[in-house]
Amino acid sequence: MNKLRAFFYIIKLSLENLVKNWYMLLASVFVLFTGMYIMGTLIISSSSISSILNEQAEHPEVEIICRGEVSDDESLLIYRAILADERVDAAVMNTKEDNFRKMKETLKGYEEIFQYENASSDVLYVSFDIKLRSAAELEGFSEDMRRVTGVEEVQDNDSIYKYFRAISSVVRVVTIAAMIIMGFFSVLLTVNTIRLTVLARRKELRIMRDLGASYAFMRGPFVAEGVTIGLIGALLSYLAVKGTYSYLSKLLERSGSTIREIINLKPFSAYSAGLAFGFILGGLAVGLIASMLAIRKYIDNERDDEK
Amino acid sequence: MDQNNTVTERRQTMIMFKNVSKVYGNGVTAINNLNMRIFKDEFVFLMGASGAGKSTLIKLLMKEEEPTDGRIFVNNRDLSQIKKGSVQRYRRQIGVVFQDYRLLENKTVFGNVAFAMEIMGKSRKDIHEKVGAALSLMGLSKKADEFPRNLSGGEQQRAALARAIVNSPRILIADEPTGNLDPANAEQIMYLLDLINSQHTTVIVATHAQEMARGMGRRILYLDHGEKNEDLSSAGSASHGATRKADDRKESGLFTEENLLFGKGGDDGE
Repeated sequence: MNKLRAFFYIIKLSLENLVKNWYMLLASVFVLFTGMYIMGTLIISSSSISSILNEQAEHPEVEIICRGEVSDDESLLIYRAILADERVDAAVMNTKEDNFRKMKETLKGYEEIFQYENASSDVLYVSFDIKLRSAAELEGFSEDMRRVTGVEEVQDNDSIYKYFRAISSVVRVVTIAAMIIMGFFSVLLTVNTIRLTVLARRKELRIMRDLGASYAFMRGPFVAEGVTIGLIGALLSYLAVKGTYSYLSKLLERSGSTIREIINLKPFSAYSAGLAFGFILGGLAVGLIASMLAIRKYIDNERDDEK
Repeated sequence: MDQNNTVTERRQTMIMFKNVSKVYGNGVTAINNLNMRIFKDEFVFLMGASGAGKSTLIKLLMKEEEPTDGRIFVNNRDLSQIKKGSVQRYRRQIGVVFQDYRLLENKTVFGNVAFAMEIMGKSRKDIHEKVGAALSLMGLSKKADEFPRNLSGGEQQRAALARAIVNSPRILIADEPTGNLDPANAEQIMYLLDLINSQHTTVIVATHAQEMARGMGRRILYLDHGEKNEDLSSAGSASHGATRKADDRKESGLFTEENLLFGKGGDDGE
């Protein structure tokens, strides 16, 4: 019962301290928030890129574009040849009409272009969207398809994915560096916030020590203060990352189909649990480390002062 | 004298310094091979000039400092054997008051005294009962809701005393408790310390006020550059100890009827 009362007393004291030093609380939360927001964004970006790359590795895609003069019958022959290929997992044929419709969708709002030029599906081409069984087959399959009569172009997006892979490595390095730098600054500022409280309550602490209050009781309010700062920072960062991700997802939905096909973002729920757990853990760690450092330094200083 | 010594030996030792020395990091020797004994329920004055080692002795007793040499026993317990984690539990046996009162400005008198119990996680009911009793003993019942800034020096020191005794410590250490007070208030504080002592609390008072200490008729330990110079058992008080009541002090003339207003339950003594 005594411990429970002491616990509530500690919580009460820590909240009083936070209200008293609200400006430093804001500064600490802001730094922590910024750090966690940057880290969260980087982590999600890295995960999204990895996810796109993994998807590509699992189901490499190739688009084959036929020459304009290739008739529907000729294209059907090519389609059959594609389906017969053991390396192919699935293939979809887009007729000239299909591609014309897609183009109209893409150029929605600019219909007059089609009227002036008297455009029809004849000006377009037949294409095939192909999913291969393995990424290892990508290069060989693309080479073989380029040799088929009537094939104008083979797009295997390999160069784009190579680019993504490079970005992914950079993002990973930046994430780790950001974690270290932002972690350091978050701890540093939180230490200063708590030290301000420690200094403001120095007399009280001295009295507590003289009266025989336990070390846990003396440290408690500062640890609770650090943890509160950590958790507020974590919560705000989580909400901000979620907001940014939702905004970008919507932006991507409104963008062209090609970008959507390449950057296929997972719903935020795929990351939410991991991110929330990571943020809470990070916030707690920053709060605990900072409060411990702030108090330890104070206790050492006080002993020196008294000599 | 022999008879006195025999009586003294029979009494239970509360504090014992055995060949204790304390040399600080800067080379200053604060205590030099000190041997002394303070008995249970005894009232002892610790005297000496500034730098004589009084504060260091108190810090050693509070286990804020460790002796460089020698051993200190409190209630038969070797302080060197107390681990860091148990130091605070040890300190709960000791009440302390200082010259500068060390009251919290943002708390009322009641709040300041209650603070000593709150940090122990005591129940609200317990706190109200004991704080009320302590304030009544100190004649501060009517000042319970006042803030320290609204109190006189004597009242502030009485509030500090109430806080020091509210957890019923075995030992009460007063470091220059009358240093900032006028003679009338100083006498009131000494009366209260005597009263606390009469309720089976060992009281150690570090002071410069030689006349007052002598007037109290209690044992005086003189410290000179960390060495015990004299151990005067003035008026044979070492054997009297706590058996001598506050009323006796009154008869001695040290505490006049005028100075004991709070002793009669009044709050307007100052």
